[in-house]
Amino acid sequence: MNNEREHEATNRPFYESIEINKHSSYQLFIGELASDTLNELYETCIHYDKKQLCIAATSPDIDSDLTFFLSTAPVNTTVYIQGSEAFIWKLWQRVKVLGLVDEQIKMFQPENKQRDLFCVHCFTTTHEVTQTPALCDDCQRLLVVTEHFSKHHAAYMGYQVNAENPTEIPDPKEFT
Amino acid sequence: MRIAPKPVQSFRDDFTYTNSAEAIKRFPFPFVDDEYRYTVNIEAHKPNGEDGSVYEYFLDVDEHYLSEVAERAKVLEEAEGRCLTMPHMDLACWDLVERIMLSLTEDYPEYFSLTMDGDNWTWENKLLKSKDSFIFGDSTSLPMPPLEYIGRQVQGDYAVLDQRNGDLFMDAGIVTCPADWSIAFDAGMSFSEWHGPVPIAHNEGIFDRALKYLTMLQVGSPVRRLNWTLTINARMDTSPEAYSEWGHERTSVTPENVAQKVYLRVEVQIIDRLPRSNALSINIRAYLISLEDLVTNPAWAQRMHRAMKTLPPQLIEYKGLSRFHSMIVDYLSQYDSVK
Amino acid sequence: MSTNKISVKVSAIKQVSPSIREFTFTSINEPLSTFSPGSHIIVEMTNNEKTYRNAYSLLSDPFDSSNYRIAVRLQDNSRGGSVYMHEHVQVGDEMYLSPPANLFAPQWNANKHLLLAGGVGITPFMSYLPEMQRRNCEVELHYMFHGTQTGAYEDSLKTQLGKSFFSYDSDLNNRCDIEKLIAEQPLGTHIYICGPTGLIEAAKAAAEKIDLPLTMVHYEEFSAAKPGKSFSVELKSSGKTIVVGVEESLLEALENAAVQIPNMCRGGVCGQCVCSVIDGEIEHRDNFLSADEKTLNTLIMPCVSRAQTERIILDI
Repeated sequence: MNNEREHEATNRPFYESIEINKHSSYQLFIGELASDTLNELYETCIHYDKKQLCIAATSPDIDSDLTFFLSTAPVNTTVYIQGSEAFIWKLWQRVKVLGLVDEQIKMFQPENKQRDLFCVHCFTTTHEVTQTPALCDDCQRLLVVTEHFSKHHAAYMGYQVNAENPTEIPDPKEFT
Repeated sequence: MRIAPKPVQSFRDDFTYTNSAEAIKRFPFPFVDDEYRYTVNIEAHKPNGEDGSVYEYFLDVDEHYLSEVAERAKVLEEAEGRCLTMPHMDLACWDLVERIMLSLTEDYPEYFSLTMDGDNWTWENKLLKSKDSFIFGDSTSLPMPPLEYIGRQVQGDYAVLDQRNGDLFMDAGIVTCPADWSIAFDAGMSFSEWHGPVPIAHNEGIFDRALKYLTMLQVGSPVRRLNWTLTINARMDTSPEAYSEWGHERTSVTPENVAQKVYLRVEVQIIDRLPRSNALSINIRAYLISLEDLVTNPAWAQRMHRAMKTLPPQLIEYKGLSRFHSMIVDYLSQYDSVK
Repeated sequence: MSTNKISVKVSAIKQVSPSIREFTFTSINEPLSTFSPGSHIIVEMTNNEKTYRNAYSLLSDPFDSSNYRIAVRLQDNSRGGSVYMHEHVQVGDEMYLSPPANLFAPQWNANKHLLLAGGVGITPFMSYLPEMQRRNCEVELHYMFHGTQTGAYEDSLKTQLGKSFFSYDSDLNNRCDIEKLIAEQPLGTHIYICGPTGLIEAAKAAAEKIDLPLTMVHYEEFSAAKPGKSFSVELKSSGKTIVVGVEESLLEALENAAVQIPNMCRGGVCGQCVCSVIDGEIEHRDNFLSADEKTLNTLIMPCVSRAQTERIILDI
């Protein structure tokens, strides 16, 4: 546990540039918010009846939408996900459970620097964190936002920043 | 020489933990060079059944058995999320139950016995004064999940890894004495993902080589490696979850108490291929020795001084030693012919 | 083969089709270990003072460790391993096996398992089925064979799988349209192939054509060493020279000269036996080294590859 951990040792995901799988028989586009990039990509897909666009912000229940769309999907489906990092990985988890493998899930570089923060003390996730340290929504501990990322939690690990010495509180640093 | 399990001592609060002279003698001192370097450092785990060392048997049941079992029970009672099994790992956990029961029965017949009538098994643990009958492979026939059931009766944490696509995944484990990692957070991670926070080693390709080697490990050919860190007081549960409780101990070290407060924690990791599930099990066994006890071995004292003196800054930081590292080097210098 | 080889007795032999012979092994000393679906063992065959080792898939139920069962196809152009098994091995014979190892484990988190078997490639799938049925997996088995030569186990598989079993006898001109079969699979189907190279390549090509990632395509190829011209090998550390005969692999020649090399698949796929080459040109027959590595001529997979030149020097 370190108060000034360097940012080099990390398992942060790396986002490759998006390429359409041209021969995929079903293309599913999922966005957190409506966006021009996603719309354009959707339009460039040639097979009109074998694609679908889904926007979480305007859907009453994105989860059941996805389950519905993917329940009859073919083996060579491709899914494209756009949004904040936490949104992207929550959706990743969801579509993996439905049967997709990593190579079938294409993720855009996250829209913003916001992170979800997993408090390792009380197991609560705090959303839309923009700087380190940050307060845990539930137990109120001040947490260091580490670079240790979990795809399954769609969040970074946080631990109490001043557990060794309560008076040692680092200056806040925004994520770059 | 191995001492029989002694009455329960504590790894928290009053820290009554002690090492007998024999325990000190057989301690798995990890430093082989005067300068510490990361290596893959995996070697075959070939117990010889005769030398009294910690490698004498497949699993080491030593004088601290009752203490560690009691400590595990406390952690499981007080903390959440320390024992986890994803549904597809049920078979692997039963593989582990069999492996542990068979080896403990063979190596310590005075403490453990197992009778098998087809799938009807009866397991007796004389140290814990328990006797249970169950149906092998049927998780409903045990009072708790198989990993927790057997995990409560062995020393050391267990990580059980699923092997898929040439990679290993942390899909089950019981973790009550970790050196600062959380199974609740790391659950489901791949080999390189859970090693994410470790500095230096990634660039040197150490994890790639280790992964290639481990994915080819075969049944009947277990291997082992050592990890080390320093802990303040004889504390077993140095998990991130409990950091709020133990973190402050790092500020309690002074030049006067450094020898009593600072413990060398060595992890002996035993990696074994499980037959039915093709999963890998890792037993992560923590051995603790105070600096005060360690320096009773002059060769260890000198080597420890040199290893600590040459530790790279990133490792000092990563292992959380910053506050007391120089105090340790100063203290140990008296045991080194070269300052 | 490692030092933990198992002593077994041949307890039964059955000719299950004109060119496929099934062997049942039971243990002599220690009980046999259970194994995971898709495992193989390495069988040691000693003929004329030379020892050959071939890998064979276990086809028995992994949970039943009272015996191990394998099926051996009589191969053309073999070094004599399959001939040895078919013509020399008798019930009651004692043999050595390696403990089971697994390079072809099922992907348990698949929504559906599509199994494509060609001829004797049915064997690993037979070890899959009991565990798949225990876990209530969705499975479909497509079995392709020549009725007069390699069709075996058809009836028992039909009974076991019912509507999920499809057979294609090429002697009756019944063939599987692999492209169509793969394209019509639902999301989350993993595809497994075991059989001749042609079948594996066809399945991979079908997957690539529809942008299906190859991480969903799992295959095991039964490649064993083939004969080749004789050559000599010098071992750098001892200066010893060994002659590799026409019928034996380089790995077997080394083993016969008491030089142990780690190994697992005996078929040029797993990479375990890799050795460094100091001198000489290699005839690469493996599927492990990259094209670049093969051109550099500094590495060799002794289980299947041989020498172009009359002599090579290895750094062992």
